[in-house]
Amino acid sequence: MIELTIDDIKVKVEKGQTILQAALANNIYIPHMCWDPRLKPYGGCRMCLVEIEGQPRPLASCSYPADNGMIVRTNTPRVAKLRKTMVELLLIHHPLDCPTCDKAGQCSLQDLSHQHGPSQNRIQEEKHSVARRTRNPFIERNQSRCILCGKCVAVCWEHQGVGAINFIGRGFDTKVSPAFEEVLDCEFCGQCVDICPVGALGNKPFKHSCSTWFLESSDNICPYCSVGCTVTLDTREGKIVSTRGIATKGVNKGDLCVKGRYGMDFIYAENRLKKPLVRKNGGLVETTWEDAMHVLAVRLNDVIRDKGPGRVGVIGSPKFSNESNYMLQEFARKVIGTNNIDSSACFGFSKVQKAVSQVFGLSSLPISLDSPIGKGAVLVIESDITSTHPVWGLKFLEARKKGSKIIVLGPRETKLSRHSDVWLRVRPGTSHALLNGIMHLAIEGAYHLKNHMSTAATNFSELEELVKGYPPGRAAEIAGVDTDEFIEMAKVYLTAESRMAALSLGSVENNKGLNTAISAANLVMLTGDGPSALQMPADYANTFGMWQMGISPENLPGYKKIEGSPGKNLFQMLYGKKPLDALLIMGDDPLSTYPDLKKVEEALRNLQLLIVQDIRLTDTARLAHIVLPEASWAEKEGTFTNAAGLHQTTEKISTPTGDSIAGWQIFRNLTRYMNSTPPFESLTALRDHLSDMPIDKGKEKWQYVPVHYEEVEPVDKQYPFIMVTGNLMQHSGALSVMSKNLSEAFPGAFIQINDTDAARLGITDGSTVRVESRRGAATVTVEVTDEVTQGMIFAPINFATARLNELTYAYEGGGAPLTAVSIQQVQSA
Amino acid sequence: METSTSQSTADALDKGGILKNKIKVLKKMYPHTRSVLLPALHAAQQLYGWLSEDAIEQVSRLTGVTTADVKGVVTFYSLFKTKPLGRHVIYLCTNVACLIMGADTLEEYLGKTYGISHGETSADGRFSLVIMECIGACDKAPAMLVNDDCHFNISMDNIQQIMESYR
Ligand code: SF4
Ligand code: SF4
Ligand code: SF4
Ligand code: FES
Ligand code: FES
Repeated sequence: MIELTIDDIKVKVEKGQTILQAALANNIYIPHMCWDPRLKPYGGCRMCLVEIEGQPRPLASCSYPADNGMIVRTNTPRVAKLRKTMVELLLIHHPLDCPTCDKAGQCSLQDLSHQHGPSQNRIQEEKHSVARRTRNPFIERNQSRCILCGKCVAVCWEHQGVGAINFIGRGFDTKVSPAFEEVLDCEFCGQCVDICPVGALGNKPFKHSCSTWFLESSDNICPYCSVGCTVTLDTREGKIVSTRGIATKGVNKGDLCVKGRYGMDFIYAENRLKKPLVRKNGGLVETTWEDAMHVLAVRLNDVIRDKGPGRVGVIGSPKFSNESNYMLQEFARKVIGTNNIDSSACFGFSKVQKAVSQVFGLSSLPISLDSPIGKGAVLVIESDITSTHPVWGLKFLEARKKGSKIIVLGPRETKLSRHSDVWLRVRPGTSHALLNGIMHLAIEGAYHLKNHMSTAATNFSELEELVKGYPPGRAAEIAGVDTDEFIEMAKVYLTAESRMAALSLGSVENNKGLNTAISAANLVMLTGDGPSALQMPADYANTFGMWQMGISPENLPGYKKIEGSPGKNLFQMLYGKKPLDALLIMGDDPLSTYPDLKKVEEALRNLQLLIVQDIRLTDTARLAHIVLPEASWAEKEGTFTNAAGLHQTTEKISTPTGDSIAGWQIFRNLTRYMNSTPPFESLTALRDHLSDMPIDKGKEKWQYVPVHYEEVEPVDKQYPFIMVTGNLMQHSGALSVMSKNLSEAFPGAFIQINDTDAARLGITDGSTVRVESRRGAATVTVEVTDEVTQGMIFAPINFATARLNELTYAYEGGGAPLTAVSIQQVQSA
Repeated sequence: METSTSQSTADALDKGGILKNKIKVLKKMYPHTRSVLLPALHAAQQLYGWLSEDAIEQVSRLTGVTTADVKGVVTFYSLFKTKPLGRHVIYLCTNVACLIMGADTLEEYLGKTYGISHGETSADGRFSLVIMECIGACDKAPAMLVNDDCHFNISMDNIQQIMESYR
């Protein structure tokens, strides 16, 4: 600890902090413009000058380290004068077009000019007049206003790892721009817009929508992925005008990704449901809640009476709140009387849960967002974390800057592969074999680890026996990589001071199976690092919470195991020989994202009663007999639990669309219509119950589960390509396609194919291709790129229109359910 | 959606892979890839005469420095050419020392004789003129570079002769 005096106040800070940090941490304000806590100090604007006793000249407090006994003055006449001059200089070339600038009111230059600047500028010079650049979906560059603080350039490269923009030119002509003044084409995180102290970078979707002083701000939790970022919503009359990240708030500390920043307009989508719908004479017609509830109760009771509650099932939603999900399972278990409860997590997160419970005996394993920081080596297993969990992904980049070695296994070029120390371009789905191979090498040779190795855990000898079958040559051969490179990679991992492995098992990712997760768990146990070294995040905003709320055929709320036989899971409900008679689907659209579309469609069409409760009219809802409108995120209060197990409240800031109401209310009312007593009459009572809910953590007991690598659907002559499915950074399922901003920027479905493969097949970039598997075919646009390896196709699965899920299949086994496909050009670009 | 470069354009430019090999060698000489950038740009300029968008993309790809960053460096230094220049490039210093010693007269002379001012190329493609900041030869002012040759103590008496040696 260091003690220094700032403006006669004694303050203590950690060693290594700058004077500015010391001051800010102690509520002493020093003006600053080019400094940001996430970036290396730049020292460009000189607004933060302070006087230090014993130093002849004033110094920039943002870059000067605090030291013991220092006596700092932040507000002497001398620095005041200098600040005045600084502002004066900054204003020489600045156009001062505040009346038409969206930043006005939130602009550092404006604020500092008011506080410190002169009323008249002594210097009259040429003003900047650079043409506005607007030809991209999200960001308007208005470089006349730029004060060249460098923050946008630094945040884009240093922090975001993209480097799309830089200072181009020199002196007066310098401007911030992409390399060739062309259209900005980046990941559109918008971090540069947030960080710009002036109005030189602006959010196009919010352009000229409202002056900042008419805005009200409130914080909310991002409804997209499981990182659970805090977003600050600027609203006018209850309508979201813009979205910001604020450095002091939430788990994200100001960072946001493209979805969190630009995707919130999904709540204003045109296809939002406004009234309950009931099928009459073949068509869905709007009706009242009373009528819908009445019809629903009668028809559901009919099925329960005639076929039995075991013939009814419900599907929960990883995008809906804990409150909605809890009430859904209460309704299923107590009112219908069935444990047939599942969700799309059946294809994804349930694998994490299974692996964790089988190997560690734990009921859940939340991730830690800071986990990569300070690790010697970080192993990323066929996961595009900067796309699936963008803000968490930034922690990997930060870790690397702080010295961690990032090892990436995966066929597709990703941001992490570009920022990795070692990147093995494995064949899709084969990282499991490499994990076994690493364990082989660890047992054979990692003598330094011997003392830590968990050899006493159950099944060690079985594991030893199994991984004997994965000597480096074989493991590398399966994965299609060079043996020496594999050995080198394993060495980097095994000899690191500390380690961690990360993999995502999203419900639309097919390149990892349960066995990949189990194998990774075996590995962290073998190296003695334990469960905390394994980071397997839940995918959607509330996947983790939904699971905890008991949306599972096997677990009750709080992970309590069901006594007796479990209910039907999704495989049995939709893909089994004897599908159900009635199904209630809340907040999900199986037709657009579940694998094996034809089977799903058949199962849904054969239902005697299909009830869909959602915020919009989905493809699935169009097949329903009864459709119930739920109020969306930001139109009701709710709780999301992020991948780290943190419960966060989402606030109500808008009035619900049409007649839509909160999910918990729907189930309360429905329970009454079914002549039962609702467990809770008010949201408060429900929330009190949830916050007191006991959590069964499980009994930690380490046990190896040796698993062989398996290829589920090998390629052959007819279907020679492996299709890998996944998410894009800008799109991840139902919500993002509702967002006008995101959909206009990233409109249609596409697949990626390797350039060499494309040349061989005569497929050209941008043309239309037909992709076919053993189950079906789809027609999409193709992107020819060297981002993917030969023999592979990458298919983002979120675009319902492409029906790519007609090709895929539901698989309950342990392998990765990759799809073998063929591809053929049908129309040139 | 990165601002990544298309491999094919870059490859088409570097036909024999000459630049690729040069940069490979350079990479071994520096501890950080970013330090390779300046020598790599010089190599590219030497090879192609100037730094086109394709050349910049190629350097970006070969060094792993983003295109925006490469372009930033290229536009910062006046020795890098962002458009094709004449056969010979005159870098004339007009900073204080040289100015006092008559650089303005030289600039005027070059303008009159070859019809070029800063950044321009003569109609026959023989000369281009680049006005420079101090080139560190103030004691022998006025000074200029023509291509890689230094010329000191230039005056109206000897400039014609100097220019004549570049055909
Ligand atoms: S939006 Fe993000 S990626 Fe694009 S230029 Fe700004 S900081 Fe860089
Ligand atoms: S655009 Fe904004 S953030 Fe970037 S250098 Fe200019 S003023 Fe700074
Ligand atoms: S990282 Fe996830 S939670 Fe954060 S803004 Fe992006 S989508 Fe939202
Ligand atoms: S904040 Fe310190 S120089 Fe800009
Ligand atoms: S001023 Fe011309 S060389 Fe220094």
